[in-house]
Amino acid sequence: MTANTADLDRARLSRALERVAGGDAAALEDLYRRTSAKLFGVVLRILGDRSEAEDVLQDVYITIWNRAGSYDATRGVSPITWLATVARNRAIDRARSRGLRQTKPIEAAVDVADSEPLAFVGLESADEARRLKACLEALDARQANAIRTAFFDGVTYEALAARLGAPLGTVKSWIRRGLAGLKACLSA
Amino acid sequence: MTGPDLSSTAPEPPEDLAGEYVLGVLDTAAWREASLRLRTDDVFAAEVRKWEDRLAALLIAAPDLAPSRDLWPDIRRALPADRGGSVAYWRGLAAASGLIAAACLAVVIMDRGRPQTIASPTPAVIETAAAPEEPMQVALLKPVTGPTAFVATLDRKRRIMTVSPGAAPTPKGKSLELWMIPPGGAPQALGVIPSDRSAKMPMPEAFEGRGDTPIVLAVSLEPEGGSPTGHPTGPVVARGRFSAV
Repeated sequence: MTANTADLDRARLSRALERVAGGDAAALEDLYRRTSAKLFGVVLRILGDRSEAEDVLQDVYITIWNRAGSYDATRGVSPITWLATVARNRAIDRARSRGLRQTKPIEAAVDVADSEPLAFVGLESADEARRLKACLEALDARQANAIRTAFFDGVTYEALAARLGAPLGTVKSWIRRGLAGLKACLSA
Repeated sequence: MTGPDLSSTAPEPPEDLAGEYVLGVLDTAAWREASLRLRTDDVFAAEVRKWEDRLAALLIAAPDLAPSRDLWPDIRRALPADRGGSVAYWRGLAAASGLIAAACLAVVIMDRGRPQTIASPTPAVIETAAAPEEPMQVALLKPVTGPTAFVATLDRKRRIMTVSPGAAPTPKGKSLELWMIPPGGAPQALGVIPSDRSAKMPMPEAFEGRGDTPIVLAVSLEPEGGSPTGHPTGPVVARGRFSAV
């Protein structure tokens, strides 16, 4: 894949979002075809339950339909990042609304931590992903693990402490140190 | 590289509220407070966006997985027939359910705390719009079984919740009953929705003072007059939530 292809993908997704904002259902379908596997991966990673994840995925695209107008390409966020963030927020809302989430084994397929992102994501986002991964790896393993777990499970400090079997103060410290470390590493 | 020993003896960095908010680790009270701050504090909002961008790369790295069936037909069905975009979307919904007032109001919906005017008003007004800082919130209760969607609106200023039924008639000898389901809690009955007009009721306490809420609204099909037991007895026909879409 070349940088040009990445740009093209990014531009294509941006344009599709613009058309969705204008009320073009065919553009939303196009977007669904291109991005549903990515977004389903995100939602399932958070919810761990296929049928619930499918339910939320529908919500995600309806939210995209409603909110496409608020995507601002000029802010420098890639469209796939924006879409993935919508998906995560929806999934976490759902996880929170069903109360304390039962820890359930996540399907094996979802447990693969670091598969390569699909081509359509574009080189730029793939680079960002690699950079973040490198920065997470540079952290203390417990800090990185706390951040990953919090991010994907959408759990509070307290639940996170229970899940990681560590005192609350320690978990807060891992997260704060981890966030500071990431921030420094990513802006380096 | 920071080794484990060094990192645990180095002074602890200050709290990074924006980062903690985006990670989702704040408890309910702190999270609510941060959500409010998002709406009023631009610097904080910018910090939150930055953290969203930084951490989104984790999402991009999540493995792709196709849903087990094609969900597009369901999504397409849930979209309104009207093709006019977001504005027409809400307008279409509102019109479909006879919720004319909402169509005339500027429907301000919180975008993760930032107010955004999605529908601009057509001033053929029946009621005056709520003040901008008192947004009217709209929730679509999507059909679960059967064809009927409902639209609920919260008028925080007047403390009124309105629920309007879709076009499909209530089956003979049955009633549609509205429930409020708090996270992890049992459904609480809010009353029967008339089949031919909107139901207006005092805003439930639980919706007090926040833009986003995890409380689910659901409509179930019950014997005429409502559930005899105080709990839902029939199928859920629609459900949805007021949310920071």
